[in-house]
Formats: sequence, structure tokens, C-alpha cells
Amino acid sequence: MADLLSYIIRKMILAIPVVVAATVIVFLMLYLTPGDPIKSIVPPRAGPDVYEQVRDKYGLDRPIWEQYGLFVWRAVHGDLGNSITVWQGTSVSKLIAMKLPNTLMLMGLGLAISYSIAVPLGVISALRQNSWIDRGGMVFTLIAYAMPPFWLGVVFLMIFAVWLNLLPVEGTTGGLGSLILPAMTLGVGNAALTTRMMRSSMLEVIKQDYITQLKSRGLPGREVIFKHALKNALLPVITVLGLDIGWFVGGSVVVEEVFSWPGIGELMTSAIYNHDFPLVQGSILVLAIAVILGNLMADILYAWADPRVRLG
Amino acid sequence: MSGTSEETVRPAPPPSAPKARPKTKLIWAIVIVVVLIIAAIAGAWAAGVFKKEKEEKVLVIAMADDITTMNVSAANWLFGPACVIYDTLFTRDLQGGYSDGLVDTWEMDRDNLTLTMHLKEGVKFHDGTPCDAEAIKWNIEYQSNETWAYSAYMFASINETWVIDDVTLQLNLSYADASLMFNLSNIYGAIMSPTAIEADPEGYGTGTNVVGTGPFKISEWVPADHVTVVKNEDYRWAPSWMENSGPAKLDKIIYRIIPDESARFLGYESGTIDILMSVPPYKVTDYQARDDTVIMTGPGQGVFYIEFNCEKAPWDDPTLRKAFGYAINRTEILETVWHGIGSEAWNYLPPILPETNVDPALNFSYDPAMAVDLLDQAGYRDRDADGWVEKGNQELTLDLWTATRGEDISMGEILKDQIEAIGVHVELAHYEDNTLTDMASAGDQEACLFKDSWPRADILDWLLGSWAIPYPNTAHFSDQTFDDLIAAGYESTTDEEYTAAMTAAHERVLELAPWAPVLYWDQVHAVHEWVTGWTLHPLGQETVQNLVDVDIEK
Repeated sequence: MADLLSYIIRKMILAIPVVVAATVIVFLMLYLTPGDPIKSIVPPRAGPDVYEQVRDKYGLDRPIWEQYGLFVWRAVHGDLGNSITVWQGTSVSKLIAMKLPNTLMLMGLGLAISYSIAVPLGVISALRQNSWIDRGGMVFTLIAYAMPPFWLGVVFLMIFAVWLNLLPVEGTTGGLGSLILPAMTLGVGNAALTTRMMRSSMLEVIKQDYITQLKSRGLPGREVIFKHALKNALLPVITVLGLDIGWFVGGSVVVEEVFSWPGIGELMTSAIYNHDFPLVQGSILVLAIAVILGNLMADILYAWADPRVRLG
Repeated sequence: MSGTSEETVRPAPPPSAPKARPKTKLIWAIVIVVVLIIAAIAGAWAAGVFKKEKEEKVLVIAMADDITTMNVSAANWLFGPACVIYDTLFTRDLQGGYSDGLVDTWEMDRDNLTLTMHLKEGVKFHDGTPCDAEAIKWNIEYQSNETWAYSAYMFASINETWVIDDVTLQLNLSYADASLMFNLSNIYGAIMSPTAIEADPEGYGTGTNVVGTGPFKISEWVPADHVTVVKNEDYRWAPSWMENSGPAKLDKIIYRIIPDESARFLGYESGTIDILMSVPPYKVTDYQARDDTVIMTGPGQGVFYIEFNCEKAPWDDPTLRKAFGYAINRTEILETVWHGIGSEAWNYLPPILPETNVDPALNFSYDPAMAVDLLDQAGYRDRDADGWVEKGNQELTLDLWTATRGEDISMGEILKDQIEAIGVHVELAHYEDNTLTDMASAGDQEACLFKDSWPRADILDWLLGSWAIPYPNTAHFSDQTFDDLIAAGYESTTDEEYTAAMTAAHERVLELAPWAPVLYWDQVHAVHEWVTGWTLHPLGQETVQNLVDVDIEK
């Protein structure tokens, strides 16, 4: 337990420079890109004085290094600043708190769909290697991997929402039903790689000597596979889970835009278009922390699944 | 007894142990379940769960962008929900004429410089407070304050506001401002609840803290997702030009914010969205073919134009700039890109404005021979007969930038061909809107394809007045004569004076040609057949809309 705790603390400490680096990069990118957020909120009919007033209000007339320093100082105290363009002047923390649960729901369901497809399909493909099931599964993974999420999303919309009229087109009008298509888009796209990993891992495990020995002892095949082989075959897949968190974060930004799902990705996209610096910086900070925590959880899960892993 | 036996011996049950009676237990279980079900049904019935709810009439409208704030004095732009939540003192009817709003009758005394307004009785804000003369006075003073009000200039001619009684107030003016009625009928002069603003000055205009007197009141605003407004049951004071004086026929309107164009179209085609505002030209033909759709078009409030950087050589030469206005085949662009929707632009103001009627000699037309002649006057001639004009040894190249919208890119491609046909090379580039505007403000551009929108000739001042350099005057155009003519327009005391002054200003900029006009754009809406009463207002979406007349018949 002490080992686990010290491992978590070390990981969190190592995460700090990663988060700082992410915010510096985003900060610089925003400021070096042409575009003035003040023009998004001040109308053309206002005089030049008004522009300067508003720029001063949001601190945009200060040197870059001072602006970044202020951002870091406030962030450490839990204040991510005020949005320039969304509910003008509203706290970024409040906006993120409104949107983050929607993104987490989307990512959670997407992950569930992804692994619900990938694990069984990978196992069956491995057990029925070179059969039509295996070949069909690999074709599916190839197609799913090749299709970009935004295109896959539009295809799902056309089929299920427009032609079959089974599910809502966008937003949250259909309640939880609105979550299905965007989650499927994320899940199916991610399932491709995970299926292949599950398959190759399972193939490797079932060829191990101890599996042969278990079979020779007369243990039922189902027990050999699900009680002994699967647990070991899952280890590489659990490792990939940490990387998948990052994929889902990036994918959710695109998918939320296509489906108008009111999550942090859609909020951030709008903020980028409008050069809403505080909102972009705050969103990136939160997403970077989410990715790091996701990776950490994956590491812990891996340690739990494999007692041989020493965390100390 | 053997000590090695591994057989397990189970003890026999005691003879006195009672046998289980599964049948009794089962009966009791069924009875309990049935009682629970009856209780649940009774409870649900008492709570009215089984009552058939009257089906609500809900209109869903798609918007491409969210609003930043609905505080009218701090808003960059307002349309959609604000135009049904708020009322204005005056309104514009569907012919563009001035009509009643919160003001029932009025008298303008030009000699004594007063505007006396008699308000409609019984008007209340959505928070229940009265919209009386004191509330109007408060609004005028609040919106005149340049500290926070972007549109304070709209009230600049008002010296003082006198409250005569609860429904009568008088404005004391510094001069008989010809623009005052326009300003007071515009959504940026709408009347907000003083109580709501005083309770939360910083937060007013966001979330559900938006309080007006309009036919709908705000119910929910999820940023970057949707705004829901519900019927104001007390509303009885609609302008006289609307068929229904109130309350509205609709129960609810949902403005869905859908930035992705494909998603908007899919939503409309699946029937979950009732109205699409701003339909791109490539979708018009498809939607016209649908049985369940009416495509409505109406006059727009602005123009597409090529704007030159008037501070950057060689584009600082008016003669050179003017040549391009004659090189554009507007018919080709209108038919190819816009499928005939819109009209060819001969000058800088749309047909809905009287100031568009300038001296015909100043209007542009498609005249390649004139374009070549003007290039020649500017010193550019095809001396070596290679098809490209040059001055000295330098061939002329124009860097033309457009936004990344599909229509803009398409127009840019056609303009490139047309300009190259008169012997000028064109380098085309496309940038995102904000980036394009910013680069133009910085003076990086040579020429950009822009679009404007405002139903009054003031737009020429905002975009070409010297005071507005470098933004919004991204043309970096400066001319004292033009500025003086504009100032005369603002000081006009009658509509005729205003039109005369602004027409003169318009003619002045046409002579100097900072822009080459391309097209007057039209409003295009797609409306499902089950929506009745929807109209296109000639002044566009930034004015009070007659949604009290809209109904759904599904």
C-alpha cells in the first residue's frame, strides 16, 4: 500500500511539468496566432476608446509574460479567469464545471462501447484464428481505424437519425438518447486498435506452456480461457487504456462539434474560433489534468491486474 | 470404526423440525406485490401522471453562433432570443415604416426640441415590475453611459428625460436628431428591467438573468448549446402591425446553437429543427425540391465587396482601385455561386436604403473596356502584348484574401478569373474570419472580400470614417470631405436632410473607390410547412420580430 501511495505521489509530481508545458505551448500559440478576441465582443460602431477599455478589463494590454504569470497565479488559487465571449465575463471555472460532466459521460460511454466491442471480438478472433469471424473482425477494425471520427459521426447521423429516425440528430434534445450516436462514434473508432491488440495478446497467451498444461489436466476450455488466459491477455490492453484516455479527449472535441454535444470540447472549439484566451487556457489545463489522471488510473489498474508489477 | 475413512456423514434432520410451506410464502409474496402495485398506481393517479398533458407548441430554430450577452448595452450583436425577450420603444413594420412599440403615441416638437412619448398601459417586465415612465428613463440614462454602453452614441442627442406621469415622458434633445427614431426602434436600444440590472449589474445579460417585456421570457440558457424561451402569458401589447396583440400562439421557442453546418442541415432534414436561418446557396435548390419546405427570401441589409488597403501602394491610387469595380461580372457570380439569390451591387449601400440612389454616373457596372482604360490612366498597360499589364517592368499582382466560408472561396475563385481577364495577376488566399479581420486591421492585406450588414447608411462611417482606422476601417481609408459629409448627416434634423447628407457622403466614397462592390446579399430562410406566420423582416434579424403571429400546425 505504501508502495502504491509513493508511486501515485511520484506520478503527480512528474505531471506538474507536463501540465505547465501544455499551458505554455497553448498560451504561446494563442498569442502568436492573428486574431483579436476584443473584436468578437465589441461592435464596429463603438469607438477606439472602447476597445482599449475592454482590452484593459481583460488584461490583454499587458506584456505576454505578465499575462501568463497572472494566469498561473490565479490557476493555483483555483481561478481560471473570466471568459471573454461565452456568457461574457463569466468565470471559466463555472463554464467548465457546466460542460465537463457531459464530456465525461460521453467519454465514459464511448470507452464502455469500445471495450465492449474490442475485448469479445479480439478474444473470439484469436480463438477462431483465420476463420471467417477472424477475417471479418480484422476487416472491421481496418475500416473503423481508417474512418476519421467526424466522417463516421456524419455517417451515423445519416443512417440512424435521418433515414431511420431512431435517434436525435444533435444536442441534448433526446435526453440520454442523444448520447448514443456520439458515444458510438468514439467507441467504434477506438475499438479498432484495441481489438487488434486484444487479439494479438490473446494469441500469444494461448500458445503459452501453462495454458497447454491446464488443458491437458482436463480443465474445461471456457475456464482455461476466461479464468486463466484472459486475465493475462488483458494486461497490454490495460496499458493501452491510458493512451486511449488521450485519444478520447481529442476525439471528443471533434465528435462534440459534429453532434453539437454540449461538452468541454465544443466549448473549447468555439473559444478557439473567437480567440477567447482565458477559456482556451482553462479548458486545456483541465483536459491535460484529465489525461494525466486517466493515465495514472490505468497504471494503478495495471498494477492491480498484475501482482508482479512493483510500483516502488 | 475406521480412522481413515474420508466419507462425510451428514446428520439426519431433527424429527421435530417443521417442514417448509412454500405455498403459503408464495401467496403472501404475491399479495404484498399486488398491494404495492395498487398503491403505486393510486399514487401515480393522484399525482396526475395519467392525465394527458396538452401538447406544447414548440418551435426550434437553428443558430450558427451563440450570443455573448443579452445586455443590450454591452452586446456586440443581438438576434434570435433577444428579439422576442425585449421590446423597443418604437418598432419597424414589414414595410420598414416606424410604428408603435412600448410607446403608443408620440409627438416630436422640432421647435422646442422635445419628443413626448405616451406609453402603453399595463406593461410589465417578466419579473413583474412595471415598465413605466421611470423604467424607461432609467434605461435611457443607463444606455447613455459611455462607461459601459457600446451604443451610448445612439442616445447622444438626448439631454434629459422628464417623467410627466406613469405613462408619459418627454425627451429633451440637443437637436432634432433624425437618427433618434431609428436608434430607439433598434434592438440595441431595447428596454431592460432596471430591477434586474441593479440586482446583478455584472451578471445581467447572461444565464437566465435576462428580463424584458417581450412576448417570450427566458427559461434556460445553456452556453454554446441552446436558449429556451417560454410564452409570456401576460403579454398583450404587441405593436399594431402584428396580427396578434398577444399572448403568443407558441408555447416555447428553442434556439439551438449548432456551429457545424452539416449538423444544422441534418437537424432540419430530420424535422427536429423547424427553421433554418441563413441557408447557403448550394442548399437552396435541394430544399426547394422538398415537399415539406418553403424557401423564403427577402432583401438583405448589406453588400459583399472587395476592400482595398488604401494606405498600401499601389492601392493608394483611387483610379487604380476604381478599375476593379468595372472588371467584375456580377451576373456570373450571382448565377454561379448564389443561384440567382441576391442582386448585383452597383454601389456600397443596399437597395432598402434611400441613400443608395446616387448619381447614376457613379455606379459601377461590368465594363472591362472601362476597367482597362482606368488601368491605363493609372499607368498600367500591356506594353509587351503578353496579356498582363505592367508599369515600368513590373507586372501588376493583386493579393486577394477571403474568409474560409464556401461562398467566399467560390466568389474569390471567380473574381480571380475576372480580374486576370483584364491583365492583373491575382494571388488568392483564405483565412478564418477573425484572423482575416485582424490581419486587415494590421494593414497586412492588399485586398479582402468582405461582407457588411446594417440597415442604415451609418455603416459607411463605421467602415470608412477616419476615426475608425485601423478597425473597423480596415481599408485604412481617410478623407476629410467624406468625414465632414458624414458629420453633417449625424447632425441632420429631418430624414430628408439625413438622406441628402449621407447620399453625398456615399457619392464621395464612390469617387474614391476604396471598395469594389460585388453583390447585395439576400436573407434566405428554410421553413418547414407546419410553421405558419413566419416572415422575413426587411431590416433583418436585429429588430423586434413578429413571433407572436407564428404558429405550428403539425
